[in-house]
Amino acid sequence: MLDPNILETTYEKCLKCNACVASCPVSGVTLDFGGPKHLGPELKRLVDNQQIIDDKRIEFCTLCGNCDMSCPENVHVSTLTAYAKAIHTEKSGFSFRDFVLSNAELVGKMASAFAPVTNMAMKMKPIRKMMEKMMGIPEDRQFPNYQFKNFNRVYKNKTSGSKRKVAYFVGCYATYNAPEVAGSFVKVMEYNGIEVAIPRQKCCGIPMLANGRMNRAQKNASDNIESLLAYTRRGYDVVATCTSCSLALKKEYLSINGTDEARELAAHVYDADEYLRMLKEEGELNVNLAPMKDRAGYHAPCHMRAQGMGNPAMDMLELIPEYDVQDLGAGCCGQCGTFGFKKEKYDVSMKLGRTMAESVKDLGADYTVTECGMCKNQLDQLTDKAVKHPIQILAESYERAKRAI
Amino acid sequence: MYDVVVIGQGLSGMLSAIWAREEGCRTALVTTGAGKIMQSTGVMDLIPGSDGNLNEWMGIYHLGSWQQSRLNDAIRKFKTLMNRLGYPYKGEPQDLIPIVTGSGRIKHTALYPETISPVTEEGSAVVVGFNELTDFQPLFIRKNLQKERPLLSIDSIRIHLGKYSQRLMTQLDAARLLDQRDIRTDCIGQIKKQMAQKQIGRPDLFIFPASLGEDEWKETVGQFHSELRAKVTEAPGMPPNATAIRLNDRLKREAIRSGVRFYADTTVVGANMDGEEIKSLRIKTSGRVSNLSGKQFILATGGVLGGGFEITPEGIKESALHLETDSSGVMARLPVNLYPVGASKGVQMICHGIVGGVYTLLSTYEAVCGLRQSVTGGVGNA
Ligand SMILES: Cc1cc2nc3c(=O)[nH]c(=O)nc-3n(C[C@H](O)[C@H](O)[C@H](O)COP(=O)(O)OP(=O)(O)OC[C@H]3O[C@@H](n4cnc5c(N)ncnc54)[C@H](O)[C@@H]3O)c2cc1C
Ligand code: SF4
Ligand code: SF4
Repeated sequence: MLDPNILETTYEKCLKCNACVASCPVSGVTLDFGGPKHLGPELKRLVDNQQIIDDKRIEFCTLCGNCDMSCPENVHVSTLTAYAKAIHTEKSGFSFRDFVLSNAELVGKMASAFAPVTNMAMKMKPIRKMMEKMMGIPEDRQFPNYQFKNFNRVYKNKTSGSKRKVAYFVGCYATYNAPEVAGSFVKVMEYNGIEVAIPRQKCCGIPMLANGRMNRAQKNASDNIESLLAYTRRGYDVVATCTSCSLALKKEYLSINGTDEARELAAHVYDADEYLRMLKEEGELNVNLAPMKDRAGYHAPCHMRAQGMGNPAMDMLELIPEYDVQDLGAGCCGQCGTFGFKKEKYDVSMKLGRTMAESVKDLGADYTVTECGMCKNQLDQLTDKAVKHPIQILAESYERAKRAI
Repeated sequence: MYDVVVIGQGLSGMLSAIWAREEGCRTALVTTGAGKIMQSTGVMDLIPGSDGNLNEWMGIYHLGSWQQSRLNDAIRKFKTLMNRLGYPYKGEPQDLIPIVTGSGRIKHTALYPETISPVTEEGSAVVVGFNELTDFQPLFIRKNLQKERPLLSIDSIRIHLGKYSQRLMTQLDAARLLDQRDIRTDCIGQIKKQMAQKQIGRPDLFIFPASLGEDEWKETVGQFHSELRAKVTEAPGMPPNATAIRLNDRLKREAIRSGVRFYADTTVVGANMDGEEIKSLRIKTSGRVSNLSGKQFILATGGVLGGGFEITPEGIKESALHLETDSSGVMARLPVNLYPVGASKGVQMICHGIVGGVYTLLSTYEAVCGLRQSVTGGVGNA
């Protein structure tokens, strides 16, 4: 089943330089992890020469992509570690917990249907104790809240008459946990005269990949590719507010799906701030942004940095007059999607998070801005500052400008 | 869109980007991956692989005497930066100092971090290795060092960090463990005990692998120094060396915090020209090729070693911008807004395949001075 369709490059180029190991956040805090060089290119070489090797040490890989970013030889290390994860899951199976955690979409649907109850239950000690015992979900780990008025319930699809048309890839987090982010995105697009359609979509697949459920991730990828291409072929641009979703659509689908269709889609995908920045460069952006005197710290999600697009959120926020935003430069948050919800990974997650929490404290800004809902979850747990999505700040600035008229 | 676009994330790329930001330029850094600084020793050599002095260096690198004051300025600027980033560098290119490496050989270097101390001709030293670190062998180091320092009395001991690792432990892993006070205290206890057992007297110098703490290097070196009551030094060897990673990580964090926009995992595959000027770069990420425009560009691709040059049967080819070069890699017609730095300036700027940290500093400094001149020439910035 596993046919590693590795992009343009292979592990053969690996010079064993260790840059990936020195840059891997997980390797930085635990010696229990085999590390990217060994579990990426070296393991792949062994697997190709002999037989499938199931290496349990791969469980610690978060698929953050820092190895890819550091490799001077362009080895797609995290694609190799994703396959090592898939092999491990295929050979050793996965737990009920990992099944639940990797099913962000299903969980979102159910949890938001019973939102008030779910949220309360997740804060109740006896329930959490039981979850830790029975499922290995650490008692102290905070969970994001689920919203009954999830975005699917409130948003009515529109067809677009504007010049630019956006097909919004909402993602599980903005759909079920943070419909206010999705709402802000639609508003920002309205301020720019761009109507937004919500295509039929499945979870981007990143949580499945991270739990070694390659087949499911591949299934979601091909469904999404089909559904989104129907839009791009009619002139829509695909835009996502979650940087893990945009990374999946831009990069991961090329390696786990690898078809011409995946390639065609990737060329039309934008991160929300990247899209706005492009509008700015083309002279199409509504720059009527009201001043905001806030001081914010920006946390860059790994999956944002992995997209090789500079820092569009900072670029956009710096357009707001008087707004003061500073990059925390803190590296990986340690939540890493489903990783930080697991008991045996909790220590590592907290160690990673501490560096970030310290930098938030050192900066002493009013609040923190980040695109990623999982980074936000960690920030919520480890810092006492509010956490917002950049698109919410932009929406507010536009709104203030409108009220001022 | 940017005032300055830097290509490459090595020592020269990160320094250029930081200094360009200090000049107020909107700056981007595009890179395939990390630079060779991660594999280096973290010390800045004059002529790699040779102990030649400043005059020889100036000859080899074809430098004019007027560049000597620039060199001093470059080094001052670098030291000021490293002081601010909490990892100070010492030394002067006029006065090379002997340091011991992870193979036990002596090499002479110009600039080195505070975790490193020179090795004297005489006196006594103890080499301390960790059982978990297979690529730092104290006995081997002691034998090699003894050949180079016949008058130095050298002992060697091995201790253990007491941590089990699922992967081959590196000097960097050891450094991260030594960031923890309890592990340091335990190590110091073992050293004292073994020295007492083997009746080794208190030496002038303790030689460790390049592992004396990562973030907490100051506390680590301080504790070893005060409790062992002797100088300590790191002997950088097989990468990753903590000496180099501290430098790399601090420069990277500073670049990010100062607002440099990183285009990571992105390769420059060409340039769009407008007459004698580069208008934009063609950059490639896995999904697509796009253009990145800027006013000025710094080429910090590291020459042959860094991937910026390709050796072909027809000679050297510049592989990022695909500009025409002569047989040594020097641009045939240098675009007016392009500044090559370090080994990107051509293969005559390398010795034993490596450009050397000091030349990297000088050329980076000169490029940033060039930027400044054309910025004051009327180019606005953010
Ligand atoms: C093992 C080793 C040990 C060393 N030890 C020492 C020492 O002890 N003392 C000393 O002074 N020096 C040492 N050096 C050399 C020193 O590290 C380098 O000379 C110096 O860091 C030069 O750095 P650079 O920034 O010019 O290039 P590099 O560090 O080579 O960086 C090149 C950068 O360009 C990027 N790049 C290349 N092509 C492209 C492209 N097309 N698009 C985008 N990005 C691209 C690469 O990804 C990389 O980030 C050592 C080097 C090595 C390899
Ligand atoms: S994806 Fe992240 S955690 Fe996994 S090996 Fe790479 S850097 Fe390490
Ligand atoms: S960074 Fe790349 S070349 Fe270096 S060890 Fe890792 S995979 Fe290999």
